[in-house]
Amino acid sequence: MTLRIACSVVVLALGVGGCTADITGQSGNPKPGDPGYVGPGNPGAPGGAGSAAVGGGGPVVGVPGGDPGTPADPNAAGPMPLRRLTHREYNNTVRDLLGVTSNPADSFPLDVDGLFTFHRAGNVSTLDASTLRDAAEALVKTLDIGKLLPCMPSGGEDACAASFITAFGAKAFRRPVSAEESARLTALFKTGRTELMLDFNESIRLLIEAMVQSPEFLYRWELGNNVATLDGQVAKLTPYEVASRLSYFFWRTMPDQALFDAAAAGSLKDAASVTEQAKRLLADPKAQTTIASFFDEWLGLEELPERPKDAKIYPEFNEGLANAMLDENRAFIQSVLFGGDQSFKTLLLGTATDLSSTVAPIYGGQSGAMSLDASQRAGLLTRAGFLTLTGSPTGSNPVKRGRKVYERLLCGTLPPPPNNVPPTKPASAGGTTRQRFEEHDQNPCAQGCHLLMDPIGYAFEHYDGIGKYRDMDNGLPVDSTTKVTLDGASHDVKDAVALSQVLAESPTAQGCFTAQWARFAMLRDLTEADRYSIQTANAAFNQNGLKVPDALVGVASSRSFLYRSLAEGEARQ
Amino acid sequence: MTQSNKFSRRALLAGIGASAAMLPLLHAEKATGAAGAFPKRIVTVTWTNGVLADTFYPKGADLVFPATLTPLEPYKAKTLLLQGLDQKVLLDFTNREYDGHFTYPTLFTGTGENKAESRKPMGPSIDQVIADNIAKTVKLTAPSLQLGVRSAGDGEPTSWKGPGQKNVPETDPVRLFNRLFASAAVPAPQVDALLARRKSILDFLGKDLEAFGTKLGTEDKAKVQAHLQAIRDLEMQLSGGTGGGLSCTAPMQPAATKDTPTLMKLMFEMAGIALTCDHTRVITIDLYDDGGGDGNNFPWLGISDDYHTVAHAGGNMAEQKTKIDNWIFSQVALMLAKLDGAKEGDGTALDNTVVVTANDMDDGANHYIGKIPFVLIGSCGGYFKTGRFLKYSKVAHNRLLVSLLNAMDVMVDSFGAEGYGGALTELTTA
Repeated sequence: MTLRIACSVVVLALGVGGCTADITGQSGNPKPGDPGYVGPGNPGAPGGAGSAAVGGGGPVVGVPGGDPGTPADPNAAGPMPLRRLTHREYNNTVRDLLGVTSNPADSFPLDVDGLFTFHRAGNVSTLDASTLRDAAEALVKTLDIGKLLPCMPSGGEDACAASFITAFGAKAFRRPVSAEESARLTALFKTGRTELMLDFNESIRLLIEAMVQSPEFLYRWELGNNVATLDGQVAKLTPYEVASRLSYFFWRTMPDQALFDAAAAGSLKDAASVTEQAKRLLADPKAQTTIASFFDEWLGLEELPERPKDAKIYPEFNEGLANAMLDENRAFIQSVLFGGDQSFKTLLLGTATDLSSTVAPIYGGQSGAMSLDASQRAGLLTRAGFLTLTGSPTGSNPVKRGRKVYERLLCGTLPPPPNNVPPTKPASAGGTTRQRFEEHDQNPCAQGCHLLMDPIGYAFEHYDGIGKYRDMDNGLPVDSTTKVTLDGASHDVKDAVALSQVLAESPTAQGCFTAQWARFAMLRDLTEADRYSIQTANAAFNQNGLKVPDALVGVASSRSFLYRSLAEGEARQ
Repeated sequence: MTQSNKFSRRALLAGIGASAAMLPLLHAEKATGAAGAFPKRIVTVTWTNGVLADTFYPKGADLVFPATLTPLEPYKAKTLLLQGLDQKVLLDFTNREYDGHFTYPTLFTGTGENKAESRKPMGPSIDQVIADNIAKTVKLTAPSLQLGVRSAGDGEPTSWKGPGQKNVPETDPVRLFNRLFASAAVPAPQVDALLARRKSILDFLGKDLEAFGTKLGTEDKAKVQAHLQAIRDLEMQLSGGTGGGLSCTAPMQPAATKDTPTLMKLMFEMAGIALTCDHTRVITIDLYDDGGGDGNNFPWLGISDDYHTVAHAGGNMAEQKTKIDNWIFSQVALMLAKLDGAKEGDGTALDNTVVVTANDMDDGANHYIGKIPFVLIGSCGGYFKTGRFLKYSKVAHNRLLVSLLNAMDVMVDSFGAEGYGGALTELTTA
């Protein structure tokens, strides 16, 4: 992600202090009733005072627009735009469909869709189409066709091809193959046998090569070429669509046999059966991989090995150390969610770790399992990974750190930067990092946005560019005290440990966490129509002490996950 | 190996050996040479984070090259330096209020962004319009090429087939080499079999995509349409297309690399050779992401700070910013050297080309987009009157796009969003 020195052009409800961040105030962008500012990398404006709770959930955060005074519509559901398999999903899906474990998509061209927080594939360009073709050609070569056949061709080639198309097609397309599709595939098989003069098995290979390049495989649209079933104003997803939604949410891959069986049996039609499946998927090791990827993408940690650091200031920093930081972070998350109390608060406050000898020097030198110094460290935001990612190449960076917290943990939206933002002075100009950034903040133009980000970032001033704890910065004592306005209250915060405590207790941060899972699950920004769904998911998250799996199951069983609004121009019944 | 389409046997074998899937589908006998006339070409090179005006523009009226542009010194007589062209379309037609970042989709489309979905332009970029026009008369190995040297960041490309239909840049030098140069000297039965197989699958995919899109909503249909267009492009590639018959020397087979200087050099050199071989006449090259290219520093220049940070520091880090941009132009010059080294009639391939360098903003410190630093190198067959420095004020950059289209024989009198006027006549009149 990119640091954009940003600055507001709207009047903001800021506290009087020079370093106060007001996080719950409406930023004015989008305006209530707007379809929502679709800002780069932003999940939408903070939910403001929209706190009509369902069963004890906090405020609805991360859902733009809407009048907080109006109750959310329980019958509404957000859209479901056509999505292509991401590189990770492609790799996982060919693994589960064909047993190909070579991760072919790792060498695909860069795949980004705008500035969405989580991995999301863009449209298929010509280069994408050619790499998808090359990958298909390469992977079918490795297949043992005999193992994939449900029949012996000696018993009748056409019948065997037909049963292959039915059986394999239902897995590749993640729902039964239509008669029309079957006819097209049969025609291709015959072209293989006759015009191309391929033998039976090679013609099946040809079919697989085509199917893994087909839109039915590549796009997450298990409705096929049918019109949606309306339920009031919204479409109710078919059991096959729900099966795929579940498997791609929790596993980032195609449904397993149990999900296919449930869909075929007409299950997955209500929140209860979906909840049961969601819990089953969560218990599978594949969910651990997916959850790890959520955290990497949510905080942007996967970019860590590419962060440049000044070799003169941080000679110890290299890719090995960056990866060790990532490993430490992932192991911490894993220990909390799959062996610990699973609590959101523990993610933000926990001090338990197991330091490798590579990363140990960042924390003081000692390696092995231990509890970090609780006066210096508390949870994810005070670990080397986050701090290094959001540090600058030469030191700390209150803007980057504050921005990451503001956008990713609090679902805040920054207005776009204006003209003529003056640069921040370099360290050689003297003063601590904070003093130099504060001078920058005094500029009336820069004030708007920086006062949303920087006061949060100042709390992290005790950590240098690679996350080492420090008391001095540029020869002067560090000042990490700051004032953060959150959930309608002003918090005097003495450092990042105290900030993490405020965040762990914050309904806004908790609600944003739920919203981020919903964005991860559905790979789109949230809309007003999702308000009720986010409320119910957040209520589920709050029900039993903020256990993270509850938020995921809450999202999976929410209205917006099982229903969708109709798209403009979509064919109707 | 300096004759058209006689590529090395070793390269062919390497291509087949590596993977038949990588085998480029070129048939030597399909070569069509444009007798006599030399082709005109266009290359755009776009980088990010603006420039420092002090080290980029001359102080006076004459064309001199300050510190950033010294690598262009050998091509001074062939250069047009433009100051003051304005990406005002982004402010006039877009929901964004201000931002110099993320303007790659606007730069060569001359359109604002789709209001519903930010960072998607409303029309095609000039390279695609030009490539489509060329394709009416000549089939090249690549009607257009999109190259990139960039991190896995957050950028969108400069090349767009149409609204929301981006052309993903190729960042893999091995794949690029295989596509352009590791070609078959003779039609092998293996090539024919692969061609026939690919044709069958593309037929199937075309029909399948047509059926797949019918019930979808408007926006989703457009995604499927873009996919279908990509499949049609692959079908076009199948039906031949070769170098246009110019003499050239194929480059060495590159090795995969993630080292930025190595990759940058490879891409610019291969781009130059692809043009002189007439494998393509239209190339866009995107350097770094238009989000600022976070995560890029320049240790080989002794600069460990992040490029975006350097740009934001403005005059405080003038030395570093100038050094980085000077290095980028030195890489562009590698391509210029290839072009200027290829004789074409009385001139060189560079004289029949226009290389346009562009940036997503004016000044990296303040993100201003009112004065985009465009540099044109090469006269595009004598069309542009070069060796000059021209200053504009508040003139829409759309008008430069019209001039570039006209230079490449696409005779339009406006481009992109409406209301910005026609070609910049000063460029063609000395």
